[in-house]
Amino acid sequence: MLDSLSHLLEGFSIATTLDNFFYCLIGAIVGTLVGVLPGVGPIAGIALLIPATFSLSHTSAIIMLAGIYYGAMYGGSTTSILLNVPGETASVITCIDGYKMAQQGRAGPALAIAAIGSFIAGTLGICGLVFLAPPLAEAALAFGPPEYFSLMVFGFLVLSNVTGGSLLNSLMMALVGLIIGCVGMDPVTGTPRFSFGSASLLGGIEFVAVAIGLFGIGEVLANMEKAGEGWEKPISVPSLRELYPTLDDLKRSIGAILRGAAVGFGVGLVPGPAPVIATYSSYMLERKVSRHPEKFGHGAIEGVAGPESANNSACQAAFIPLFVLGIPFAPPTAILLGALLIHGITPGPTLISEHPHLFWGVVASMYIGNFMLLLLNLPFVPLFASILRIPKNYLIPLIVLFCITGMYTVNNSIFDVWVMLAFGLAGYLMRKASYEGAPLLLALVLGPKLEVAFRQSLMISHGSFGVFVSRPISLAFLLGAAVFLMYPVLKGVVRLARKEEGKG
Amino acid sequence: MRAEILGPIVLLIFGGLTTAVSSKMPMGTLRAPGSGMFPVALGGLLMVMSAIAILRTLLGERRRREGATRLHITRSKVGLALLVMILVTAILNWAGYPLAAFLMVLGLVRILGEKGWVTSLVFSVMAAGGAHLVFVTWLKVPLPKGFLGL
Repeated sequence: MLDSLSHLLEGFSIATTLDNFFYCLIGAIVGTLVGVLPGVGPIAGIALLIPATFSLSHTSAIIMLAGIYYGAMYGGSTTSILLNVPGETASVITCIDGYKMAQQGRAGPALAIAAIGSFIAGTLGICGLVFLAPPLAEAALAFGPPEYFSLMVFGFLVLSNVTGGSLLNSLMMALVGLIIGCVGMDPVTGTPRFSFGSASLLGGIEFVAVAIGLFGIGEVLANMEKAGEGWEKPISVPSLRELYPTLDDLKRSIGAILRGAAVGFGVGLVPGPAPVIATYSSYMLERKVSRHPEKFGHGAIEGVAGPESANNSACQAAFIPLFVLGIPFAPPTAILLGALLIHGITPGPTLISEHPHLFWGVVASMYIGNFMLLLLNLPFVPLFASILRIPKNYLIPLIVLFCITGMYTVNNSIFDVWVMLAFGLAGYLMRKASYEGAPLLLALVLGPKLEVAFRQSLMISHGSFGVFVSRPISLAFLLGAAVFLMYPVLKGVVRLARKEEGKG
Repeated sequence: MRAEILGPIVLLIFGGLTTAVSSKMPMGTLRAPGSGMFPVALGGLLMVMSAIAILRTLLGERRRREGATRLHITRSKVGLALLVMILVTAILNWAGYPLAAFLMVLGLVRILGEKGWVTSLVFSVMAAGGAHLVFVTWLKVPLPKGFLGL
C-alpha cells in the first residue's frame, strides 16, 4: 500500500509537467465535447485523436486519450438533462430524472450533482485502480496462453450477452471481427492471409478505420435520418447562479453517489459495456433503497446522482483489466489498447514494472483530469451546452470532414479512408438490422491475441484441448462462459415452464 | 427484403468465402496449428451460426409476419451523403485536400437541407480553410496537395 502511494507521488511529478498537464486538459475538453455531442461517442473520439498523438511521448498520448474516455462520461449528462437526448449511451438513464428536473426548472442542480457525483466517484475509482492494479498484476503473472484464451472467450460471451441485442447476432459479429482480424500476416508464422496480393491488406485492416467507420460515419449516417429530432430542440441553459444545489439536494445525493461509485467499480471489472450497465444497476439500486421510489421518473435527484457517479467509477475500473491483463473488456478500452500498441507498449502483468512512468503518470493524471472536468463541467456548462445550438446541417459535415482527415493522417493512406467508408456503410446497415458493432470491434482488436493464445496452448499441450480445462483458472473462465451461453436458454425454459404452470 | 433474413444470408456467404479461401492455407496439425486452421474454424462456426439464425427466422416467419420490420437501404439523404463521401475520397489525391474538403462540406450541407447557396458556399469555404489551417499549417500533417499544389 505504501509502495503504491510513493509510486503515485512519483506519478504526480510526471503528470504535472507542463506538457502532460496540457494534454490532460486537451483530453478533458475533447472528452466533454464528445460527451456533449450526440452522434460522436468516446470510441470515435479516441480513434480520431490517435493520429494527433504520434508525435507525443507514449505517456502524454495515453494521458490525453484516457482523458477523452472519462471526460465523455462527464459531458454525456449535459444533453441528457437539458435536451432529453443522451450524449452517449452511458447517459441514457440520466434522461429519466435529469430531464424531468430540467422541466421543473431545476436543470442547474441536476447538472451540478451530475458533475460533483462524477468527480467523487471518479476519484474513488482511481483510488481502487491505484491499490488493486499492482496486486492483480502480480496475480496475473500466473496466466499462461490457456488462461488468456479462456479469459478472452469469457469476455466475448459476456459482452455479447449484455450489449442489448440478440446473443446470436452479437456472437456472429464477434466472429466477423475475428475473421477481419486474420487479414494480413499470420501472427505466429508471418504467412500472408486474405491479402489477395495487395500490399495494403498485408499490414492488416486498420482498427482505427473500423472504429471510425462503425461508430463515427455509421452514427452520422443514422443521424441524417433523424433530422429535426431532439438535437435541434430549443434549449434553456442555466446560468452559473442557478447551478448551486440546495443542502437538501446534497444530503439526498451523497448516499446515491457513494453507492453508485461502489456499483460502478464492481461492474467496471467485468467484461461488457461497463459504464452503461453500471448506470442501469445504480438506478435500480437507488429505486430499491429509496423511501420514496414513486418519485423516480418524476425528477428524483438520486436518479441523476447514482447513475452519473456509477458510469465514472466504472470507467476508471475498466482500466484495470486493460493495464493489468492487457485485455480490454469494452470497445473504448480496446481502442486504448490499440493506441498503446501503436506507441510500442504492450500492456499486461509486466506493464507496471516495465513502464512505471507510463502507468503511474496516467493514473496521477486521472486525478488531475477529474478535477479539471469538475471545473469544466460546472462554470462552463453554458458554454458546452451552447454547442448544441449549432444546426445539424453544419455540424454533421464538420464531423465527416474530421473523420476523413483524421483517418487519412493515420497512415497517409487513401486505402484506410476507403476501409473507413465501407465500415461506415456497414455500421449504418448493422444499426438498421439490429447488429451490434461493439463485439466486432473488440474481436478485431483481440483477434490476433486470441489466435496466438489458442495456438500456443495447443503447442504446449501437444495438440490436446484438455489444456483448457485441466488448469483451474482457465476452467473457471470457461465455466463462466458456459453459464453466460446457457443463460438465455435457461431463461427460455423457465419461462416455458411457468407458462405451462399457468395453463395448468 | 426482410432485415432479419438478409443479415444471416450475408453472414453465411461471408463465412463460406472465409472457409473456402482459408482452406487453401497450410492447416498444420493440432500439435503445430498452421495459418489456415483458425480462420477455417471461424468461417465454419460463422456458417453454422448464420444457418441457425436463418432457420430461426424462417420458423418464426408466420408468427412475426405481422409488424415485420423492413430494411430500407435507399434513404435518399444517406445514399447521397455516402455518394458525396465516395466521390470526394476518389478525387482526394488529384484535387488536393482543400478543394476536396470544400466540395464535400458543400455537398453535405446542401444534402442536409441548407437552402441558401451563399450561406452554403461561405460555410464550406470557412470549414475547408479552417481545416487546412489547423491540419496543414499548424499541425504540419502531409495531406494531398493535388493539382492546385496547396
